[in-house]
Amino acid sequence: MKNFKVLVDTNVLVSASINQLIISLNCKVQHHFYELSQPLFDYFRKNIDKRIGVFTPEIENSAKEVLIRAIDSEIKEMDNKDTKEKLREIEIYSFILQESTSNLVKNMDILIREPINEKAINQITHQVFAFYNRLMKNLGQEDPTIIIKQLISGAPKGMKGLARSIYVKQENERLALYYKLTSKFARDPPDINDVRILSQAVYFLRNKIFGEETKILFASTDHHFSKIREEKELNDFVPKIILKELNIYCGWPDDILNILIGKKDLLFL
Amino acid sequence: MQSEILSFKDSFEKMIETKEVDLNVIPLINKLKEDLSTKKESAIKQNLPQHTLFPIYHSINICNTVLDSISTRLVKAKEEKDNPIIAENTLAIYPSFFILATNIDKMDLKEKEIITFHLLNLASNLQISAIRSRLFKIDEKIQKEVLEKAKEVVCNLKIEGITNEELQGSS
Repeated sequence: MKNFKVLVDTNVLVSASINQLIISLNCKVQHHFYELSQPLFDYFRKNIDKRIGVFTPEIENSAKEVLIRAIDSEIKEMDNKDTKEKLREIEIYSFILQESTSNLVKNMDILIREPINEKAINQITHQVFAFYNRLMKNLGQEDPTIIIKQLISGAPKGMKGLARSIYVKQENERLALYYKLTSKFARDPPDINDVRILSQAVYFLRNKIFGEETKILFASTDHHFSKIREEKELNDFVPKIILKELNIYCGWPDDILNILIGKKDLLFL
Repeated sequence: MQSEILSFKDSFEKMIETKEVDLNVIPLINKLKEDLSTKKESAIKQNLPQHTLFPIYHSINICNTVLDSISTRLVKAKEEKDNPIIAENTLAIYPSFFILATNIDKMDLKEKEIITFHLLNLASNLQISAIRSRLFKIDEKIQKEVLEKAKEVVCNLKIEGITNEELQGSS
């Protein structure tokens, strides 16, 4: 039996907390992305004695702030002049913030709150920064148009136009995903918070915080760590390279759950 | 309000010393609640924009929920063998309560820019520590209208880093 610990990212923690609120309010419309985190938390709850899920004080603060910002930004857009109406809306948003914060605490209570050694994290942070710089460079080499050009060059003369249309069609979804990924990284490159979070996962692994044999999985939907998806295609360039170089498996909550229940295996494990 | 906040702390420290709950602290708790509610009413009367009024309203609600929970547990402390745990729990959340209540107390409602995020963050800290100390009992009697409207809001809530194009096409 493999030993796993799952570092839970802010977005997964917040999603589960919002999803529980959606359930408690009997909302008809379910939000897929929020729902996605729920089975993982159900699994953590069922296996509470194993304490599989982990979060850090930094993730706790970040989750709390994400909830506040979500409410705060909605309130900022409102400009009700009628006092009664204004108070009614404030009461609703206050209720939502209160309830989602309570759910956040309930979710954190089934995880291990693991403190980190700041000195060790600082050292790892430099390496993770360098890792992301390499990743950004390597991302350019993943361009499917380069692959298409190589394929076309092998086509006989006079057939290159036809070959281009065939290969472009073939690579269409991959191209779309590639551009989606590069534009995501261009718009929102990894910042210090992303680097620090991944450094914390590396810290747990390298310092054997949870024991010699324990593998670290990182549950996140953030494109800086995990796959991106479009229709049935997925681009797992980022998690693959993180796995290869840092030996941390980053996945969406459903992927992580599949590993925990043995439905999915990983070569590095 | 400042002197009441400090007397509040002294009262609970004495309870720990004597290992005996003292219900004489309840009028002080009620006075604190009253002062906070007065501040809330005054903020409402100032006709502040929603964005400024929200953190004041929410923070005061959190403080009052905590104070209500303390009162409830104090009254039942002897029969529920919660003595002096209730006093220890109250002192555990006191730093968060002190900083939030002091911020509310010293807030100048005429100032145009009230630091909304800071206040909400302090309120969240108090709520989290109060839940962990069993000092946050939410009123179960939420109006039906609030629940109905909350449904709509929650389903459309935009969460940073979550509600984005990644949602599309995910299976």
